[in-house]
Amino acid sequence: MTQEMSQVKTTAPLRNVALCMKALERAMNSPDHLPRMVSFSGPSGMGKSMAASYAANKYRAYYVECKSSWTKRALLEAIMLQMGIPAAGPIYKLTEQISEQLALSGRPLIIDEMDHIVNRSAVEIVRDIYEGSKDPILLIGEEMMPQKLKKWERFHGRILEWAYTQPADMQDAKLLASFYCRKVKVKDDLLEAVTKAAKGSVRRICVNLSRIEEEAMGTGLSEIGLKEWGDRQLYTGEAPARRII
Amino acid sequence: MNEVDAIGLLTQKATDLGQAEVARRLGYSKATVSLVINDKYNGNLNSVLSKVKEVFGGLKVNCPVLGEINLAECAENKRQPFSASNPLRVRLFKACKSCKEAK
Repeated sequence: MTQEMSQVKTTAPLRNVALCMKALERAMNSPDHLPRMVSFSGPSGMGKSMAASYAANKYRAYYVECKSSWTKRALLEAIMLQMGIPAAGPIYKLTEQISEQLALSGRPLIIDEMDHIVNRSAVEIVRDIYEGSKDPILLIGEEMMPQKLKKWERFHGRILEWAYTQPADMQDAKLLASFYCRKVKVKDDLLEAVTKAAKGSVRRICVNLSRIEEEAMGTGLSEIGLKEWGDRQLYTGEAPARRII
Repeated sequence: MNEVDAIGLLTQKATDLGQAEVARRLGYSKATVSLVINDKYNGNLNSVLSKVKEVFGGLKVNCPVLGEINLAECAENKRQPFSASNPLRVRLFKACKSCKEAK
């Protein structure tokens, strides 16, 4: 058990991480007479789930990621698993136990991939949990989630803030390069091209950075810019066109 | 931290906080704490002492997923079962398996 250790880099402090943290903090600090549910939504690949993981760790939140196959009961059981409470009994009992645990612990709840819940019309169960505990809840979903939630006016009205992801910019790309491209230095002109090709997606930037590092290592470069990259393709996420031989 | 240090740490904490409080934080009985301090414990001393290091050692470890965390938190994380419904736990589960910190 030595104390000397190099700094481990885990989650890059991108803009979306800050936005997600701010949304959750707003829910946690909101006074009693205001609602304490917040939503954080945006397109796929923007780093929502990574941001949520970071926030969950920082604030010791209960964190569940919904699956497409989940029923109401599955959602409740998953939350209870995170709480370490054995899930037994009818649905209404589970809801009550979850509310009780949230109210007692004061720890926030994060529900990721909330779209699945919306599609299954299980939204009211989240409202039950919220009403039963008045505990801060962060809902994370894709960009259309706020619109889809309009169907449930009583739910929609209880959201304190609708936060949206921001497309990844040059500063994010630089940070990501410092996290994931440690063996080679990527010059700014190439990073700019990557940012443009990625169309705001953090995930695509990461894929590109990994390719760039691989290429640079393969050709023995320690520094790589647009000139060295040449006319190689960057990953844009477009599926290749059909090829007829 | 070796065994003697850990017993010393435990004795110190028992003086500061009282044996009951120390026992509560460690998750052992008051009798166990008393026996260890007085060198009369017949059970598995190592497991008690590693718990002492976790809880009172104030040691930090570098977690590949979470960054710098307390040893106690590391130990708690690695004991957690797999849960597909929490992506953080999925990442931890995979990382802990191959981590030298989380032996």
